[in-house]
Amino acid sequence: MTSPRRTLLKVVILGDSGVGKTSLMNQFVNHRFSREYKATIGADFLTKELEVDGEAITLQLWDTAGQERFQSLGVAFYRGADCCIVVYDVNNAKSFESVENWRSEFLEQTSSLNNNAFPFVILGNQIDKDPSKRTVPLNHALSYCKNQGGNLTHFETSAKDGTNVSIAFESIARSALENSSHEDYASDLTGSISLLNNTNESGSCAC
Amino acid sequence: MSHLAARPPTFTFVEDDDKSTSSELDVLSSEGSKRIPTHQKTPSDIVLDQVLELYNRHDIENAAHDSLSVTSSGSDMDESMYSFPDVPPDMADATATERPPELPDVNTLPYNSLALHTKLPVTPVAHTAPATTPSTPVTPSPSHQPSVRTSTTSLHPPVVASRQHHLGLPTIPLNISDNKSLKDILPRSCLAVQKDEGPLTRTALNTAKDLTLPSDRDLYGFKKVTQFTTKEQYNAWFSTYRDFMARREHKWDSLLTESNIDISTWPVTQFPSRGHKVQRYVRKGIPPVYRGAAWFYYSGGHELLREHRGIYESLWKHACVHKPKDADLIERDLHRTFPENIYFRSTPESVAGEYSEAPMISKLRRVLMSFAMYSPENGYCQSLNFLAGLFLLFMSEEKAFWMLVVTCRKYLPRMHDANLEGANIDQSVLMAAVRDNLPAVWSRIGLSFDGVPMNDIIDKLPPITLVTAAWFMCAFVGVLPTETTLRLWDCFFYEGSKVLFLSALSIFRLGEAEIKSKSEQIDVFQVIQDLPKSILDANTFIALCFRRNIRGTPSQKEIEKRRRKVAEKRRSAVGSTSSDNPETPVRRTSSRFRRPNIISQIQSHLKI
Repeated sequence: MTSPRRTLLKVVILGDSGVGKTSLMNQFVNHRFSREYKATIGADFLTKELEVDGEAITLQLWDTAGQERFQSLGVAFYRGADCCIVVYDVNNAKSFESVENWRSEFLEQTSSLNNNAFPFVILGNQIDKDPSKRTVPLNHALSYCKNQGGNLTHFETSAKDGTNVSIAFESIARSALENSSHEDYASDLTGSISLLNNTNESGSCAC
Repeated sequence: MSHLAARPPTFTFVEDDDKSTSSELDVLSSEGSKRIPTHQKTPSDIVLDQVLELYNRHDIENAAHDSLSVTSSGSDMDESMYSFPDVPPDMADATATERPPELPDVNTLPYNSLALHTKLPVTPVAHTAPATTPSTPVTPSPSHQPSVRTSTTSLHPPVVASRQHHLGLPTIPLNISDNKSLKDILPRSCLAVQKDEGPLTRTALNTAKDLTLPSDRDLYGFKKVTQFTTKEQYNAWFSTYRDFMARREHKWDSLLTESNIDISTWPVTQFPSRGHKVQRYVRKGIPPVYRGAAWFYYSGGHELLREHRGIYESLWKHACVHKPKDADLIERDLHRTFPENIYFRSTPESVAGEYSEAPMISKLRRVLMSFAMYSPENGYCQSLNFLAGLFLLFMSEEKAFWMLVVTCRKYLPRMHDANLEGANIDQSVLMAAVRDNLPAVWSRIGLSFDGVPMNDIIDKLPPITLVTAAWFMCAFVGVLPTETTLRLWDCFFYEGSKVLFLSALSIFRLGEAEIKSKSEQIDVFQVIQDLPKSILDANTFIALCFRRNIRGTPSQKEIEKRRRKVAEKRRSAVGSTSSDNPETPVRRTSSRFRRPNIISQIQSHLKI
């Protein structure tokens, strides 16, 4: 833990197919957006080095396939994750309903002793689209996060124009770092809600 | 001894077809036509029963006749494009006498250099620059001769004739998540099954050959530039490879002619019977003009199609009325299959405001929806889109559908099932092969995420299989560069699934030194994830895959034996709970194809 080497943090990105997991990851890592992303099969990963509060860390980002059956691959995939990102599309209500499924699936597989403490970052993506197409209001998402009573942080993002992407991933890195440093003292964690007042630009209230 | 990279390579790439010999068994040779008695009905049978019943009840007849008239007149592309005479004589002449001047001498190269593994700094690909895509493609001239193009980048025929391409705009997938049936949602233009043999006709390919070098796109309409290859690198390789392809095409022309096969009509429907000579020819690459037809022929597609005429269209009509359960997932993947390929580009919205799409997108939808109907117990699995998409470039949609069926049943059994059983089995087999043959690589990848060595690889798989499972599920589409994938597929459909294992092991071999040099697990993963994407030199890669006297080169029989073993172990690990599925996971082949009664009834019904 006190090694002067870079801290390696594992982050898993989950969410329904087509919500923009790969796009978000690439916007964060490479600062670019493409319409030519292909459906992710199995999993891809990228790494990103950054500095959080003076500490050099390497984020190891695992981008997963959105189709449920890929969970059947016999890999203890979530093991050792320091933070889990669940992405939904604000224009797709079904993908938002799936958020809780992804979250409970993750918790089940990791059988974490401190389910309430494990950091999840929930991202409502594709806010660049025509507002009339939106089916998941910000308030719904915020009240979901609040009512879950876990360590959930929420942002609305656009992988396309980059809105909130870097701030979201900074929060992800911080959550992962915090979780990683708490792993040794797992007992002292309680279910604190760190619902950040994000700098959401869509004008909705952040509860 | 096991340090393969330190051993000098002992194989050579021999282009002379009369010199090399092979001892490989043609395990698959008779499989395509093998008959297995029909047994109890599978869910696929039941769906076909339902289709038949619906037809008998005339339930959907009106609807189908209303909006689903099956055309035989081809797509938006000029029908006459598909009937062309011989290969241009200049091509044949130019290639007849030449000997290969620059074949790779793999004996003198270290493994790493075989991969053209020049790591580029991660240069931003110009994703947002539509200027790099061809301008408005040129329609083939009415004379049907390869026309002289004025624009160097417009080698590919138009996808949607007379429509403007808004290449910089996003495609807008249809919203099909509500309860409406497909026939009520899809524009009429997307409904009719097309009979054309795909965009890569003999003429299209002959035209493209001469224009590929200056173009931004390859022969098949894909962008040359990727994150791992620059246009200069591509052209440096292709300028030699192009000549090689021409020579091979000439060789194949002779081979087919010697076998009394008429090559004046396209596509060719007959191929020489299996044998060592044909195997050598296949390993050196099936020429693009014969490629789709040869895949179809050697995989047993003709038998399937003959016995199932009309089934594809019936399934599609059925899908139009009874939307398959994964329809919205399929719809989303249509535009995420080959977005970089010119033939898969749709116009987002026409001037009139109506959604219009590339014929290839419509075909891909029909094939995938029909497949989900055909196999409702498993439905649609992501990665099938890549297989179907590549088939569709080389053959008609009906053939592409049956290629998908044969691939999922014969070559990659249960791999795309709802529980990915076949994918898990194959990854266990692959990991065991790595463990036994490449111990140095295994010591780096045979670890859990926590870095603990893994002994049991039957139930639990190492994390790297998240990457390698995708290699198998996609049969390396999108993993290896296009030409390398196609060359691998030539061998795959001729020799069987062992080819995928050989390919995977070759990739590990190529990366062995680099893998060993990495201390962090994540860096090892990165090497393995990225390495295949830069293997542009298809000749050398295929030669490496089939290098003789190499440890860990399994025969097809051996692969199937290992698959069975793993499957049994997995079943016994689960206990008797899987007794509801008594079929062995491997070689579930012909029994599913054979439904004589249902089929003949549907066929006779369709003739009304």
